[in-house]
Amino acid sequence: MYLELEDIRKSYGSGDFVTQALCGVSMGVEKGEICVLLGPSGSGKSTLLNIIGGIDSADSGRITIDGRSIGQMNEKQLSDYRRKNLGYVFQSYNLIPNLTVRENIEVGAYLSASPLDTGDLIRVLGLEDHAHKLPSQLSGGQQQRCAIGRAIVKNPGILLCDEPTGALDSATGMEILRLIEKVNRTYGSCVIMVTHNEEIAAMADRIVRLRDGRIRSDRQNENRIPAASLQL
Amino acid sequence: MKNPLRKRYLREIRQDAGKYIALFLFLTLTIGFCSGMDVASGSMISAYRESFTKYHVEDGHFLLEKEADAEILTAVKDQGAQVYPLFYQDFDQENGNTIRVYQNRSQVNLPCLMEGRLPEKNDEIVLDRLYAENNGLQEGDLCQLGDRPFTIVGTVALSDYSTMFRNNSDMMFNASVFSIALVTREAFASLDQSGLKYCYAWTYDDPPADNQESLDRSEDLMEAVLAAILGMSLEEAQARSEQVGTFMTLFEMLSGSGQGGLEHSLSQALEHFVGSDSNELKDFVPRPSNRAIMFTGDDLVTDNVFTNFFLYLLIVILAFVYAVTTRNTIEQEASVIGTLRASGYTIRELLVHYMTAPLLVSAAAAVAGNLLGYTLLKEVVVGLYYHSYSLPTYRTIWNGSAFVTTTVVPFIIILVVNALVIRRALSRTPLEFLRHDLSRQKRRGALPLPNWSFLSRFRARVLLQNIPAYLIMFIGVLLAGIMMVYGLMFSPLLAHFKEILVESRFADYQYILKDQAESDFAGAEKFAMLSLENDNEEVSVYGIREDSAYLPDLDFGARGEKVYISSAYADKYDLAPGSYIRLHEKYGDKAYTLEVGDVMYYEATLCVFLSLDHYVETFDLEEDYYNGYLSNEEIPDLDERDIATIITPEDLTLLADQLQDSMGTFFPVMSVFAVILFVLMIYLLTKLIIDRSAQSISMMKILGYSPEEINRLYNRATGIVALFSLLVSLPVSYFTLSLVLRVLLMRFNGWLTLYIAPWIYGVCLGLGLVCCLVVERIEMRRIHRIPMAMALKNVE
Repeated sequence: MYLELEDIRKSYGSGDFVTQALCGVSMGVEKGEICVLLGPSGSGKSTLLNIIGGIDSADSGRITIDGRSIGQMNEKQLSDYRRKNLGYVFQSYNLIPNLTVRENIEVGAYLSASPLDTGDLIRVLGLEDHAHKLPSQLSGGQQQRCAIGRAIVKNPGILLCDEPTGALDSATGMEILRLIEKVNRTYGSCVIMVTHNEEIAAMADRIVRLRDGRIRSDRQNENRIPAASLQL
Repeated sequence: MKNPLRKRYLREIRQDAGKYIALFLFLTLTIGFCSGMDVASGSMISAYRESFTKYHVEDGHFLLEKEADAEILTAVKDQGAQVYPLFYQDFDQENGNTIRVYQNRSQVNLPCLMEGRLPEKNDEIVLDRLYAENNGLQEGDLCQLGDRPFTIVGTVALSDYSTMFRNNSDMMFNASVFSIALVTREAFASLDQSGLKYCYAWTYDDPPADNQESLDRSEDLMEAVLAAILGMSLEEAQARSEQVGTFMTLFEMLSGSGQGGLEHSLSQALEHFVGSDSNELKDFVPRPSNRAIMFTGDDLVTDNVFTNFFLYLLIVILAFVYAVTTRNTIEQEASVIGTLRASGYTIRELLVHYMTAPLLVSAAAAVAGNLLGYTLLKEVVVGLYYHSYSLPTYRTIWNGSAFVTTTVVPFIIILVVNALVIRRALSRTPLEFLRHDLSRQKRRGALPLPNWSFLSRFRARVLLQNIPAYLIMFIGVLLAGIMMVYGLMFSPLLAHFKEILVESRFADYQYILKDQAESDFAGAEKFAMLSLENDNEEVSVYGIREDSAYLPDLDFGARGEKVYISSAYADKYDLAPGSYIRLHEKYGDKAYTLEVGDVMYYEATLCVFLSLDHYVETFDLEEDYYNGYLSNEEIPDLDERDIATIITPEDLTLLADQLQDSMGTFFPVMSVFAVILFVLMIYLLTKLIIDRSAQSISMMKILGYSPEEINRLYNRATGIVALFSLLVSLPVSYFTLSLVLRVLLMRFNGWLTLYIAPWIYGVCLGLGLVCCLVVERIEMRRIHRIPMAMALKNVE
């Protein structure tokens, strides 16, 4: 397994107000897979994604990526881990407002010793006509494409997407999902995507369902359909 | 690959131009003024020090009653020194000014020609440059010496009179009423010689290494001169050092202050030793003790200390303004920062990123400030110094230490303060940034507020949300308020001081006599006076009749052996009834410890009052001793030859006049700085609060609030805090001012009563209100520009 999680536990609060966010989650993702974490709000899927991303820590359990455990890493090592292995896409695009599309993507490229070619990536993203525009001059879908470009340009092993279509209309959402699939196929990144939309799960190689901090099901998607065929 | 975030720097500066321009201008002005001050004073200190060699400045001088005979001159030479006659005469002008005339100098204390040329004809004269400026005198104008007119052909600076102290023990100097002048040798010889002063300067063949050595050697030289005067060998004179010491104290009192007037005793004492036709040493001033030479150098150095303290205070405030506004930017960009951190950007990379724009602006301001400092502002500062002191010409000297103190250190302060504040702001986890969970304290829910009106509660919430920003503003406005009070209070303070001096005078005329002289004038009352020293300065000791008509409040009978001191003395040295004061002779060994019985309201000088009997007993004088008269009118029946000096109310206000002269131009500059700082603080902080609240303001607009109503909600809170801070600054300024004035006046002889005219507080508040209204108008435009779409578009 490229990514392995063993008995991950996480709680918030203290005393009488403890909330168990994750209760012994174990799972794995192969390199190049698209894995969708599915579940309703509060099921712990975003918490799990953040722990995988090294921006939140588990109370207990073990996480290994490409054979390397990240559980005991200090802040500097975690930062280095994120820098080398991860790309992040959020529901809110979080682009830098006074940098152009190209420059926003370069912000990601800077982190890698061997980034993808920014020009090629902009074409893959379909943003060649908008490369010199500021985020405020783009539609929501274009901004999210730019955010994906920023995440993928450093050619990370894992692309983490937290509700990437949550703020978009269905057509634009479809467009983004197709792009994520294209990136996955083109660059071979492992994609872990959090969503509460059942339809999106259909494009995944692996579907993990969470409820109340526990994995309810974890299965390979035998009937995977391309993103272009999804009915959102 | 270079970090693409660097492309943001200039864009950020452009987008936040208002903030950065304001900070740039203020920093430029501050650094410019301070570097100008440091460079100017550094260059002038250098010119001042070089002048000792360049213009062959004396190592000291002494004044004799008569022309020195060969024995005296030989005695000086035997001490390894060269001696030069520097005879002079003082001439009163019609306007009451005094001009001290020397003949052209060619050996010692050489003149630095500032304008025109030196006198060549016998009706030509050059004056001190500062005196000429202060009195509007130019080349070609006439100057009257006695009954002879002289044509002014130039102006000079004499290094032995860089500060215009008429006498070394004068309370203050005044270049508006006193000047030196040079005429040709022939012209000098042809002047009425009745007031000729036999002054001799000396220089050592082997210059002393430092002031202490100079003072030590001058003691030997003084003993040698005295021995020559007394007709003794040096060994004999040294053996009688106690008497010599006593003489010197008496000489000092006579020669310097014009308040001593013990010439009668001195003459008697000299006659006792060497007969009535001997010469007399009237003054003896080694260079380190010569305030006319040394005061300027001390002042230039002290000014630097004050300026740099002021600079660092401002820089720390500016650094915090930068840091708080940058922290605000970080809060606004929390999602971006969270994403960048989640993507692998390190805190260090982000720290460098967020510090760069402020540091770039600071660096640019430092460069601009230094350019200004070395050019325009240096000239302003030089103008201030040339307005106070009669300095020789100077050349601007690149001053490495000025660059460090006014540029490198401020830059480091900004860097460190920003690094600390921004590092702390960035020390949240990526998740906390993504969630905008940046509050240090755990959320405890909204602070309950009293049942105020909606507007008041809203403003209170704005205030509570921005406490760090308001704290910075409070400190900045506090400082601005203090500076504003400082800037405005100076002239009224001096005017008031003069008023109370005149009010508290105990007689319009104090006649100090050379020889005891009887007067039958009805209002004349005998008194005695001498000058002693505490550890710092001269103190006048008065012997007053117990039934004095001029000082009726002094009840010596009830005080026994205790003495009265003036309120100025009590204030300056924190003395109260029951305190002991120790006064000693300047050159002699005798010291007197007196117990303070009470304080008499008298602000003019530092003085001690004893009953005449107590005075005579304390100083071991004859029973009927006196050496002066108090009177409210001129005493007509005194022979001018018996009068050493007359002290009038105008003499008492010399300190105030000189402070007005030397510092009068500095304080308005401070007022301007204060207003700029005040506006800057309010502007930056108001802007910060509007920026932070842009989303809410957009929503308020959607809800139907007008920009004016929104202004009342957001900007008014800032205005209220600014005015409150200003209000607090007023009593604080009084407190700090009393401390500053105390430190300042410790350098001067005498005392100045602190007084801030009540109207100044009103003007400060008025100015503050106007500044607030101006800023509010500017910020109203910003509120107008916030689009309603902002609230609708934002997806977070």
